[in-house]
Amino acid sequence: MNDSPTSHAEDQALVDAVLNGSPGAFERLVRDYQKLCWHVIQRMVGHVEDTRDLCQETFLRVHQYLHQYRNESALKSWIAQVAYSVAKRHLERKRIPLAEPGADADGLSPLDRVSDDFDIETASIDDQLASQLHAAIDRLPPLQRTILTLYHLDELPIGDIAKVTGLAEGTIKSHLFRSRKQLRDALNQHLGVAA
Amino acid sequence: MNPDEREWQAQEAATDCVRSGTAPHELDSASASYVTLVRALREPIEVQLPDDFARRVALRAVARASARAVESRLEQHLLWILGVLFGIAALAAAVIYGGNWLQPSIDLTRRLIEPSLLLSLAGCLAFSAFSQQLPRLLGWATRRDA
Repeated sequence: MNDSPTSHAEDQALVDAVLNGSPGAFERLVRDYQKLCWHVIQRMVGHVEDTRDLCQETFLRVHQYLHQYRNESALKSWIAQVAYSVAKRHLERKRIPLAEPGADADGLSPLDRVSDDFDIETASIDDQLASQLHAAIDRLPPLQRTILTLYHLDELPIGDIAKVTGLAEGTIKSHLFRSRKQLRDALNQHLGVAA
Repeated sequence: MNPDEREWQAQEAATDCVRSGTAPHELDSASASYVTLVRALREPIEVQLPDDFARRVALRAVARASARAVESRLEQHLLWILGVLFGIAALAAAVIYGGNWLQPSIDLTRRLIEPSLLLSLAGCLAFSAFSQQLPRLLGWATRRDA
């Protein structure tokens, strides 16, 4: 992510335009960040209809509280933070655990199950392998999925992900490390490669 | 470097390699083992929002902001009306019942500011403060004796 003062200046210009009621400014803001918003919420919630509604709720909140945005962080991170809190509240309302709750009744954590559900018999060619890998990623707990996506797809630095989620940088690194190692081990195990 | 640190470095090397688009064969085997995973993690997620999502949300946001502004103005007007009504009521009460309490209140205020009464009040406060400190002073003396 470009986190230079120039990009912050552009962020501030866009925010000022929205706050001054410039025609089309907020529409531009939504267009610029709707993909990021979708990534965060879809990874957290995993349900298309709910994600659509929550994306709308996120941008309505962004519009309402944009005057509180301070130019200390990138607008991208600030909007991701709003999206994350909207999705988190949704999961809490539905009593869905955000992070790996630890070993469950069968003694397996969600990350352990990633490996067991990885069916290489049907994943012998690249596309199928990728599809199996995506299915394994989808089986991760919401927090781990979101952190992986923010880091790898949206290229947010670890410090920004910490701000978005309200977690310590060390915790973010730990989630990244464990999720990637577990997914890689599952991949290698089924490919018959020594990890 | 401990094994976890080495593993972290391998994960990060694979991430940098995929981000920069350099050839994975330049990586060591530990880092190369993460390349497929990192590529999968970087694959775009289909955004299933309608084409006019931004326009619709922008219109809705403006409509909600206008509604909030109207609500806020209404609240301010109601507060102002309430203030005026309160003032009128206070004035009416003073006119109707003023004879009963206005003069006694003025007399009482005059008496209160008389020096002798103020002196008595100060004495009372001093005595009250002293009586509050007394147990602490006695306790301190007892502990010191012990």
